[in-house]
Amino acid sequence: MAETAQATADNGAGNHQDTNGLEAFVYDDKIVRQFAWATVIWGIVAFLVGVIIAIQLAYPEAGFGISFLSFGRLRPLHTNAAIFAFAGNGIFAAIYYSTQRLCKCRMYSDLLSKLHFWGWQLIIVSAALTLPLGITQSKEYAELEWPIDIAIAVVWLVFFGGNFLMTLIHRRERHIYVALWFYIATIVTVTMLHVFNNLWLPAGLVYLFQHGEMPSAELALKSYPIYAGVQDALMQWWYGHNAVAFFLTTPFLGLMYYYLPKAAERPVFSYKLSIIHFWSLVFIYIWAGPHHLHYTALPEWASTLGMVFSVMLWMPSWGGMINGLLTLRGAWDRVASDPILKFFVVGVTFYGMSTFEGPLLSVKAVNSLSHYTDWTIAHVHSGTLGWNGFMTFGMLYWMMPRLFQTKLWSKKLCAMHFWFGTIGMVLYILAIYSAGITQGLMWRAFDESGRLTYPAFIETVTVLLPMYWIRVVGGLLYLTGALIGAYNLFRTWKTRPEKYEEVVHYAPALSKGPIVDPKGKERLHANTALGVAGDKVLQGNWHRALERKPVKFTFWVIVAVAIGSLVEAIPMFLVSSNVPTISTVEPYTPLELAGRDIYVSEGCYNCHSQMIRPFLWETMRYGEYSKPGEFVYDRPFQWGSRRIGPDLAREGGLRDHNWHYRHFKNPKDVNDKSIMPRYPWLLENTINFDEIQPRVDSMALLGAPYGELLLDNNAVKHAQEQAFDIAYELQELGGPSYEETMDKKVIALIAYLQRLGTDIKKSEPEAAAAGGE
Amino acid sequence: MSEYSNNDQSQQDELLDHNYDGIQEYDNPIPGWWHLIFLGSMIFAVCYTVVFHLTPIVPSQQERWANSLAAAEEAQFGPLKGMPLGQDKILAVMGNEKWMSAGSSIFKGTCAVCHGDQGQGIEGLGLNLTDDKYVNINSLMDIYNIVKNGSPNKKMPPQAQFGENEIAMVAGYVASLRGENVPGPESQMIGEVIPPFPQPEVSSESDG
Repeated sequence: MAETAQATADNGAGNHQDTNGLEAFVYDDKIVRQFAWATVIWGIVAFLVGVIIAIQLAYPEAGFGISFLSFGRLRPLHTNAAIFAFAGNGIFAAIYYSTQRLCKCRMYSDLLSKLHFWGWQLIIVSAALTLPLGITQSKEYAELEWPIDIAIAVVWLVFFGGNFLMTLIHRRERHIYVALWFYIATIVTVTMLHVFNNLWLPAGLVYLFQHGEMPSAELALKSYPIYAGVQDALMQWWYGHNAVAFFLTTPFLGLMYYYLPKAAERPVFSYKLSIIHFWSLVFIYIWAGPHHLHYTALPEWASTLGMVFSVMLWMPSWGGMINGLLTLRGAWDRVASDPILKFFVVGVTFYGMSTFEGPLLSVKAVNSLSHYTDWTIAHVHSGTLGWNGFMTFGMLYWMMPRLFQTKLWSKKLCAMHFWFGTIGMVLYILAIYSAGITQGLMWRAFDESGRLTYPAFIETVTVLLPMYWIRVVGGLLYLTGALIGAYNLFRTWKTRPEKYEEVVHYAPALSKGPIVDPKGKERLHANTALGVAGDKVLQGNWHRALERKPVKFTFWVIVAVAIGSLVEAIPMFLVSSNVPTISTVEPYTPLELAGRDIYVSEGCYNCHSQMIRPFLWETMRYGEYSKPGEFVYDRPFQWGSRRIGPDLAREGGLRDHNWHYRHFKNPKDVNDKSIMPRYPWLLENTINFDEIQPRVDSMALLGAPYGELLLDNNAVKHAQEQAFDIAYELQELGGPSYEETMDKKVIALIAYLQRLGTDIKKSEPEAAAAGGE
Repeated sequence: MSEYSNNDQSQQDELLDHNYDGIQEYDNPIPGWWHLIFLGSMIFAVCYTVVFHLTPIVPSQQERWANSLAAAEEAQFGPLKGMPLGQDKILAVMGNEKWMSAGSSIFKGTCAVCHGDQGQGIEGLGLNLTDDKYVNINSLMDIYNIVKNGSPNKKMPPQAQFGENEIAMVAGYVASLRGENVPGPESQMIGEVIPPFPQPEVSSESDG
């Protein structure tokens, strides 16, 4: 490698041939080794939790009626671990290794690197502790509560982003390579997404400032978003979709652009394609979020923007796949024998499949079938298991032996990992695609009488159970593959030298002069008229010049991602016609609010939506479709993204309190086929009434008109009265005595459920008479 | 200068003179089909937006729902819509296979949650609807009224989400469950034996 540096230096501008003009530097490989091991370990944790919750879906008793093992709490742990712990550490390892080499310099600050590594691991550990305890903001992939959000912002932007940008500025390679463009896009956009989706009002802090005391530790961590309902949903899926784009796509494309040509020892197929697919991807991706909200209460124009930009995203995404696969031209013979290249080929192929399927699913007509079903889950897993997982494994197998300055311990085990992983994920996605399409078709089936063929929701669930078991097998195979990989890498590590050699590299300092492409405009050989026109633009030196200016480059990336964000968000906040007011919709009562917070905390949204779409088969099953104005007091929104259980948007009043009570105690008591877990702790744990006033106060601060309830601890009194009423009614309906239940969490949750979707049915005078209720 | 072995394909390709940690790039053109599909997707985007939002060609999704609802109601209820509410309406349902099937669908989707999938009752919740004993019910219209308004002791909540025709259909179906005697929890087989419900005339017509 030292020789390469030397050779490149000689190839550069002629005035640096004198070795005295060269600067010496050593790469920081220790930090890369740390990130690489963290990737391996957290990967296994993420896959293991995935297998556990997959078993729970097929066999709910696998939660043992224990709160911190329940599906609603563990599913966010699985997604967060897979995205931020496994993929996150993976991209950090890839970035720290490749950036140093592509910039010909050590990371700017070893201290920042260390703070980044340990800060990030601390964030992961705090996620692993808080999520099972039900401490969550409930927005998918942004569940972590506000103190952790702040830590993420600091670690990501200051430690990681700062270190990275300063490294770029201090680089010795004149132009920044395409991998680095993708890293830049990752850092700036994830910062933007994270910050704007996590603007929350901490309820405990508000109370602390107002009253000088903190009622409980739970409240200290509780927060409400500054957005409500429709706006909250838009912001969340702007974030959620672009977490996929800028956490699971752009950094992995950067990874591909470094590790794939390295492993294949082939030049990248097309520089021009790199330019055009990078900028089109970054500009278009950010618009696509609303396709997660088709046919919801989101205004139709936003939904259409999400759809058409997703369709336009197809080719920019495939640009990356083409550049990856065609880079392997001339190396295909080696793919057969080299398991590392196999990982990359399958990874890039899955990227191509997922990014074709994405636009397809974003088409409204297709989405009407796929949304809320397992189809989405299958799509996501073909992306994460296939693209993120396999690119990460390929990267680790290529890089870790080099980091350990040795050879991979066993090529055979590496190949075995590949086959376990491939067969595992194929089983997984095939089973879950079938499950998704089966359930989607069952939901919309009408019989000859014009009514639903499968009116009982449970019928559309039990039919999926065989597929759920196949998923468990697939997941186990994938996990086994990862364990084999970990063992192989561990044995590789054991063969490392006693002391790592610190290779000194030499390169000249950055020269300021431009590079002019001598052949310039001669090379216009695109094969369509449109292509030639495009080539003319790309052939100019403007992009070459931009590649020498990392700060300017970063600025243009920010512009590219800001345009779509602003065009979608600003009208949603400023144009009131997007959320027409419904006069009978009122804030939740204090007890209902406490119940809602329990609903959020238990992660009910992981299995139940609260959003009825304007389709006949939905309104026949669930009642009137949801209106934007119904959600103005919903902080956070709870529309959900998957119906493992039925929609709850109009649950209020459908069943009596006793049904709910018994259903929480054990769903099988009322429906022996149910796959919902038991919630015995809700029947035992008490409501902390001291927390209710602060919750109401915070919601009032965010604009909910609570009036008298804000004075004099009135909210607490009101909550206690309502709890008594419900507990008494429960007793009258044949439930346990009110003395036993009136202070239990289940009462607050029942209060909330019985309110859901009922405001719209009230007539005006009734609503006025209900007053503060 | 290149460290790569050449083969047939790469001989046509031109390498750019940059080298990043040993990685080089070809100056290959972007495939023509890539440009064409990309442009095509943009044209689609514009056309879709124009057709769905800037012209009155396609109604909004809410309007489309309302249209499909009207058609579906006509198909489901047909002549039932014009019939005045009363015992005869429920009898008409009971004499019509299609309406009974609709009633069964409504029952399975909503009532079965408390009354069991075959009306056998669930411990502590809904009563057995397949025996001859009833509480608060003496006539077909009593079934209708309890579905609409809930039971007097409030154990059964009113099913306000249904319209008159739907309740008539489900009432007819519930009446038809009588005599099935599906075994269920003992505790749910309460009430008093009431005289038989009147039966629809249709079946005797078809016999004759």
